[in-house]
Amino acid sequence: MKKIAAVVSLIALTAILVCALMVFQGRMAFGRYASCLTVATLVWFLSSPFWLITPKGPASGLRRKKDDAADYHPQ
Amino acid sequence: MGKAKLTDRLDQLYEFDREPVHPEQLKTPGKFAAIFSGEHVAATEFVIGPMFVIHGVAAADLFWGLLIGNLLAVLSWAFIVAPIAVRTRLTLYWYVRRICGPGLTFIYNSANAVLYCVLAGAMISVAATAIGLAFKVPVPALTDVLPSSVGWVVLTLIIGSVVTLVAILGFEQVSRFSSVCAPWMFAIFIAGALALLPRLGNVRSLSDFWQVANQSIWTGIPLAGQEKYHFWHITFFAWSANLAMHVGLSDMALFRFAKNWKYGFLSAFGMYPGHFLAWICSGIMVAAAAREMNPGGMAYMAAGFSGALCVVVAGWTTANPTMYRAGLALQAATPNWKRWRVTLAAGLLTTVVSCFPVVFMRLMDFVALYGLILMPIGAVIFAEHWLLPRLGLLPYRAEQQGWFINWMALITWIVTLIIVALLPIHLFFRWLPGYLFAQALYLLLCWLEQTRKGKTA
Repeated sequence: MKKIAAVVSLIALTAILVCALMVFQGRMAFGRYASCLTVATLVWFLSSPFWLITPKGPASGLRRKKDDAADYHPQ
Repeated sequence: MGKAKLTDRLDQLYEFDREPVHPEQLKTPGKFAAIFSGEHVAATEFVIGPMFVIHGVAAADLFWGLLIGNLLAVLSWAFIVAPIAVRTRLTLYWYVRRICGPGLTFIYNSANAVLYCVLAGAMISVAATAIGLAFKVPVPALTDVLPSSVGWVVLTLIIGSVVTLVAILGFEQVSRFSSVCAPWMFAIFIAGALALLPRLGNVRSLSDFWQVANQSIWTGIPLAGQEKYHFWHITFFAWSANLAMHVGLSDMALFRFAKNWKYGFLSAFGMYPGHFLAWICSGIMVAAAAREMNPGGMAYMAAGFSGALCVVVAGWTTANPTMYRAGLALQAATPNWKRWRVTLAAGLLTTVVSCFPVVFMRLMDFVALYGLILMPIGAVIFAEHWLLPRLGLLPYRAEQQGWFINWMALITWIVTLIIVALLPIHLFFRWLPGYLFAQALYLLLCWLEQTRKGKTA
């Protein structure tokens, strides 16, 4: 699920940039570009939380193990 | 749900604010990158980038000034704030208490919290310009000082309430929020600039862009009545835009969660996308918008509804960590208050401030002043942490002697502020001589105090 959400949200992000590039090159009308951005934005906010937000935050599963912290000496 | 139960649940949101961070609480580099990228691609970028255009910066001055100024800022995070934060694992506020005494800490934290609230208020004001456009609420002109309509006040009150709620929920929630928004916001900045660039000239290559940049965007000619900025203005503004966070050491609150000091270099994830590319993109947008300063309208023109939404979201993602810092500052000054209550107080102040458009109308001056006011205490902490032991002087005298106020720190703060106020140079340049002066003065006062008492610790 996370992988699918990541792919979908990255496609949305890419779509934003591609649409802007097409306007820049004169291959897309501004009104259509604005509509595409709205859709891509919606897709981004619906899909990105599934892989960017996890129950314990973006760093979930990457927390420092207790053994690794043995050399930690607060001063 | 009863009030007592709600209070209990909120109290459980206690974070490691008052004690050194525990090893299991340390964060990974990705979290710092997310925080920095979310915090520095912000609503203010829709104001500061256009300001450079309005102040007649030349294209070469802008690019070189931003490259060098942001590099200096990253180095300041890496070599000044991060090493102290990972050695102490404390927020600045509790470290100030150890060095300056509880009395001065109260003054410092109160000043700090108010400044943070004003900054967060500016973010909310900018966000409100976008929502005001979408819902036909009259948006104040950038020359306005007071609220221009009831609709504007209602808008800012609603936005301020939401930002406060998220800030109360804590560090993790703030980080989650910014990690979702940051990549999208950055894409909107790039897209808006790309889509509007053809309106400024025919750009088919990099050399075309450079020509358009010089002729139509950063022309080197300020608008009537505006001061002209040069290379050094840009360099020093970029360096000092977050002065309170790096040289002023406020980001100890974040870097106390870092595994080592090298995490300071991760600030580049905030500086170069936010304070380089986003400022350039918003400069392009305002040039295409006939140099009219209206963040919401400009973004709407560049990217439609998504652009206006970007201004709102950018405001939130910066206001949230800023309000988090304000909560930390106030908590140190009010040790018997729970975290959620002090953040709520900061949120209320921020929300009231955000009603006044003047907070973003004079944003660049406020940003410079805000760093300048807090900078002397950063100099005192740096001197106490690194320089006193190396000079054979005793550090942490306030803690050891039980001083209510470290008078040497207070004198340093006041005298430095008087000196920088009198310096006959531009506001953006004043902090550097002031910082060096503050360190020298504090060391001199400590030397005098300790030699007079024969180092009777």
